[in-house]
Amino acid sequence: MKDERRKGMMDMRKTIPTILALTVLLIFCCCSKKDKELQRIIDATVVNKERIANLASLEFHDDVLLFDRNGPDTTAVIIARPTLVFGLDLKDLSRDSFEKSADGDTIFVTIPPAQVIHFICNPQDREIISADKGWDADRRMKVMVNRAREAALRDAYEKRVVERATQHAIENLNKFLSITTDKVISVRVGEPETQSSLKLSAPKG
Amino acid sequence: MSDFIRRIILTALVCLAAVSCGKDPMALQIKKIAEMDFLETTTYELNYLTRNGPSEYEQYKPGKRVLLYSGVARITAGIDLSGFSYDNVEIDKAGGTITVTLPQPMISIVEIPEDRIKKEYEKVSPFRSSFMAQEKEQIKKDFEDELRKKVIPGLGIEDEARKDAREFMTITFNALGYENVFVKFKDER
Repeated sequence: MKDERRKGMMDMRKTIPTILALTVLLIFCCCSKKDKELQRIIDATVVNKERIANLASLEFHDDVLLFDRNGPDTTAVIIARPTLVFGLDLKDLSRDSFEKSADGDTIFVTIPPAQVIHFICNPQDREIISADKGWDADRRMKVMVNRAREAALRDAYEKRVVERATQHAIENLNKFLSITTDKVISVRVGEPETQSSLKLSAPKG
Repeated sequence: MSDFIRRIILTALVCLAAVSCGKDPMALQIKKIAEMDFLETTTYELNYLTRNGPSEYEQYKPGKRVLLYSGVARITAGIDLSGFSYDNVEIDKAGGTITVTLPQPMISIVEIPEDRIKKEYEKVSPFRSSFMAQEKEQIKKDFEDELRKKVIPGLGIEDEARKDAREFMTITFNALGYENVFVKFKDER
């Protein structure tokens, strides 16, 4: 009887450390799984950042009416049809752009706001509505294209295209990440890392 | 082998089995894709200018007669994923390959707010008659027709949506561990 009790005690002494060891192992596994999940999301996003940037784009086709004066009495009216492509500049996206909530259930991703990534205004995108004799189309068209770019940028800001482009980028990134993980994804907009190469600076002309 | 070690191994195996006997992970991803309902891949915004179209007869008349109207439009295209299911994927796990079949892209939204169609420019030379109110109204009415029938189809937004959907699915399934992702569209020749 005494022997059986001693054996039982011995078993208990073996079982308790076993349970403790397994609990520690499970906690360790869970924690490392959470970190691995975050790392997997970071890898998937950072590796594909150029492709994601292209996906999250919005095209703004802006017809611009331009009036030009070439000499005292020589005027022309032109329609230029430039296209601005808004997208994300994700070259600075890194591990620091990702953050996990305290409970580990939400992953926050910070992206810069959308900006102009391409400007297109081909010769076929221009139409001369009227031009006086002596208006030098070859010489003035370059000036017209620059003015079309400035006008299109101004229109894009005035018509809040930039905000919608940013929203479009957030939605697409959110959809992409939400499929690849069980975590809740929250995409936030941070400060622009770099300024657009197409600045809005020139006066209205 | 001592009882202690045997028990650890046994318990670990039970835990491992319990963890790995969860739901098929791909079933969850497919459900999530279908729940997106419509994947808006491509958005174009237009600030469009149109002029009165000179008729053949008009070009022989002396002097110019120009009337320009502007208006805005927003066009969105994408893929209807509401019916997405296991039937749309073929998986070769050994080769790390997945083939995804998607429906053809379609234009989902065309917004042309009528109140934002406005006159931008009018010039009539002295030899020509001014634009009558009726004529102006007709040009304004033709504006929406021109956008819907001529301008929007010419933008190629559906081709862009096809390209964007292919890219979206490729990066998504790459992230899920498939090295080779092939995206096809239904009725694609």
